[in-house]
Amino acid sequence: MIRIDSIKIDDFRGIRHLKLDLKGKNFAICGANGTGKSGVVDALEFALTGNVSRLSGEGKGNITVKQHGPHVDRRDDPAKARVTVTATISAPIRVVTISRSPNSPAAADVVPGDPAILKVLRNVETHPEIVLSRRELIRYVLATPGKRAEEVQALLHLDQVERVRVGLQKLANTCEKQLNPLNATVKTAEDSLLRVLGVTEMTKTSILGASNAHRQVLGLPALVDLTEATSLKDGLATPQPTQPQRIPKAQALAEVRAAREALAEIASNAAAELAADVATELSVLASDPALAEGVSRESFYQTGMRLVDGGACPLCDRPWNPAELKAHIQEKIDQLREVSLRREAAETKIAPLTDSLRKVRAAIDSLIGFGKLATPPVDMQTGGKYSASCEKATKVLMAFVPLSDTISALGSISVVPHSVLGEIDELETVVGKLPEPSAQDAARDWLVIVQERLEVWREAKRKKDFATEQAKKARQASDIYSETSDAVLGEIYAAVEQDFAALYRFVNRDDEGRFEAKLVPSMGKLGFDVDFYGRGFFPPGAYHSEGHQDSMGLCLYLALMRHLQGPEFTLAVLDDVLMSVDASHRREVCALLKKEFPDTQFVMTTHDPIWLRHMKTEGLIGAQSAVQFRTWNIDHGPIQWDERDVWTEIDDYLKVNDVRGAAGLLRHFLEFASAELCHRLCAPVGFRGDAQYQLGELLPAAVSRMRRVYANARRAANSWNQTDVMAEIAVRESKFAVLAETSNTERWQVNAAVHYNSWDNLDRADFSPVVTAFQDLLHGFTCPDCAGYLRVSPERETPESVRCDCGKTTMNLRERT
Amino acid sequence: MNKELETLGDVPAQVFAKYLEAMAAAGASGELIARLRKTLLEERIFTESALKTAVLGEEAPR
Repeated sequence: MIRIDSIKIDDFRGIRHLKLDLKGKNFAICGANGTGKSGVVDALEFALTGNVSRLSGEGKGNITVKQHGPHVDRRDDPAKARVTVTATISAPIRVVTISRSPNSPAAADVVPGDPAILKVLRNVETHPEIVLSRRELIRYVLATPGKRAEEVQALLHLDQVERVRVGLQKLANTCEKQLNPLNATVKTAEDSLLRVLGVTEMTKTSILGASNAHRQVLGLPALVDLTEATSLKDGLATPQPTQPQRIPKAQALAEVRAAREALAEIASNAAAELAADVATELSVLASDPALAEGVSRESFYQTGMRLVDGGACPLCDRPWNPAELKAHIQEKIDQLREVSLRREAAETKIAPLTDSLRKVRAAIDSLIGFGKLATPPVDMQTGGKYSASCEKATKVLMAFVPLSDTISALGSISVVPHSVLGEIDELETVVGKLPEPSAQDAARDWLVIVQERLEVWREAKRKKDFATEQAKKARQASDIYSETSDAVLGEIYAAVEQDFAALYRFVNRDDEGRFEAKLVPSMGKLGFDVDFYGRGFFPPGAYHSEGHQDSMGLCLYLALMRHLQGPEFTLAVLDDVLMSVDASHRREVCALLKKEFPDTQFVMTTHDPIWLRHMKTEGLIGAQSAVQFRTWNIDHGPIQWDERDVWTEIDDYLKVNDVRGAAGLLRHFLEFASAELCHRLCAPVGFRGDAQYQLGELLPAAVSRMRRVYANARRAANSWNQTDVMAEIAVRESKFAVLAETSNTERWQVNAAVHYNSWDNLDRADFSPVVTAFQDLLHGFTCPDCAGYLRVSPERETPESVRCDCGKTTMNLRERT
Repeated sequence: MNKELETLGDVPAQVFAKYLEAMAAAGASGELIARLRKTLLEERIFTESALKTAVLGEEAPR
């Protein structure tokens, strides 16, 4: 996808001006804590994505890239801050320059900016996971299963998958919820239609039979079939608009009878006993505080279960994982199993009572309509109020809690106000006094009202059928999605699990060659158990050391990235990710990265110079593919170990007669340079377990080794009869001896200046020769052409040659035998 | 960039593509699959309203 050739950083984070040439190869940045390593990582991430992970996310408050990305002295002029990366992208292979300022983080200047390149860079922007810090790495390993699932989901960009899953679940739930009221409406319309039809079953035969009897009275042809479009009053003359609407006497009286029956049913002893029975049971529940609390809680959990279908809490908008939360709620509901069973039993008993209430409401509402048509109108005000109270009681009974409200509703459910019966009597009287309609009028009225109610039922049923179909479709879409996504993610996790275990085995093949791992997704969680020396599977933090956990985190990250990006995994920035891994396993990590990820450019930071040397000696990075930061200050940012800068800086100290500063820097640099020389020349130094070598141990060893190397080279040239070469080496050897001698005579002053607080006695004139002596001495270790330090080769066996990194200085060390 | 490389690294796209295949195998209509493809893979809009329209069609009740 992309490889970094160079990065230029200006006034960004803690860096004033820095340019690093990575040349598209693995690269390491080494330096003590606070020297600016992570600033380079931030700059790299910013240039590629427009964001800095460390400045965003949880706990970062008001910190923003725009405000806090620029160097602190540029916070009022963020446009001056800029990071420019030159990179090579792979498809198509092009060199591209990406430049970005925190002043407008989202807008990158890309040259060339043709669509193919922009498409690749947009893809890079969506993969901030190319940058991995130890903080992030350890989250994959030590997080709780739920949190780990979030981290891995973020890495795999599964938020979209989860959003769709949640959205489809919510849609299915919403569609199903809409069915209950639609079913009740159909049932009410059906009851109403059956009453006027005078039949008990809604069948085609019963409807056609009743209708054709009335049609025959009017001389209308019999209907032979009943379809969705059939009108039972087909052929009936349309009434004049001016004709006043009449009360259909027979139907009105039928409705009166139905109302009385419904009221008798709700007021019956059976209903009263049932209501009393349920009320008693609920009173027992209510009287026990623990059970009452359990009922309330269970109800709360059930409500919660119904409402948990979005990705966030509807109150505070805090994101949640619906599957995980539902499992949690179900666990609580299961704990209230006894309460739950008693509630279900009570609700089963309440169901016929709510059905009776629905019939009462439907019948009374119908009578209220007839009362308005009467002359004079029959005011059924009490009936209207009673109907409303029945509706309210139905809702209370269906809600179930608070129990006190349900018990109260049950207590009054069988009480029908006498005034309601009086109003019904009054309406019946009025309707009864209406002249008997002719057979034709009665048949006409019947057909009109049946057709009206049939249409109401048809419309209700159409809506219910449509909603049922929608609900079925939504549920199918949701179920198939869940199955499919689980299967796809299961395959991914299985593949990652295998790859992770293989990578970890490679790094730890010395003692964990049979290592296995289990990556188990379940209900929004991602379990991660690892084999511990064949004793069983445990969480990574249970028995494995921190070093092993670090390498597990890296291996899991690499396995995920390889699966996620495949051959496009061409860049990874690892910010101090292996600080706990021991030396031998670091070598294996180097070998792993070289062997398994040869096409990935790794940019790594470390505070440990020995780790840096491991990377070099194991060939993970080239001799020139590293930078070492020696210090950092607010005015200059990270300061590299660059010889030219060091001597200039020392000279600057001396110009102001700051011998203390000059001596401190000189010693610090000599320690760094001596360690590097000992490493390059394989100089023997007395072993220290803490690896804290002093200048007095390193520099003499390096000088002694260099002298021996020159001597060996001279002897080797002589053995091969290379007279010219031998003479040239002899000159270098002689010069180096003089330089060593000169510096040796002066070394006491450096020591004195640093360790014995006697710099007060030195001034510039005293110290300048010391500086010159050591500068000359260090040049004696370098190639005259490239100025790089010489190194012996090979490193771990008998040296055969000494050479520089540019290849122009090469001296044979093997004598002719 | 070929199709395989385009979906490589795009796990959601892999999931959505498999989902459409599973819906087709389950007998979902061509119109439904076309709407889902447009929403999930082309427009990549994952709002509840977009999913509702994709699954239920334009006549979806509000």
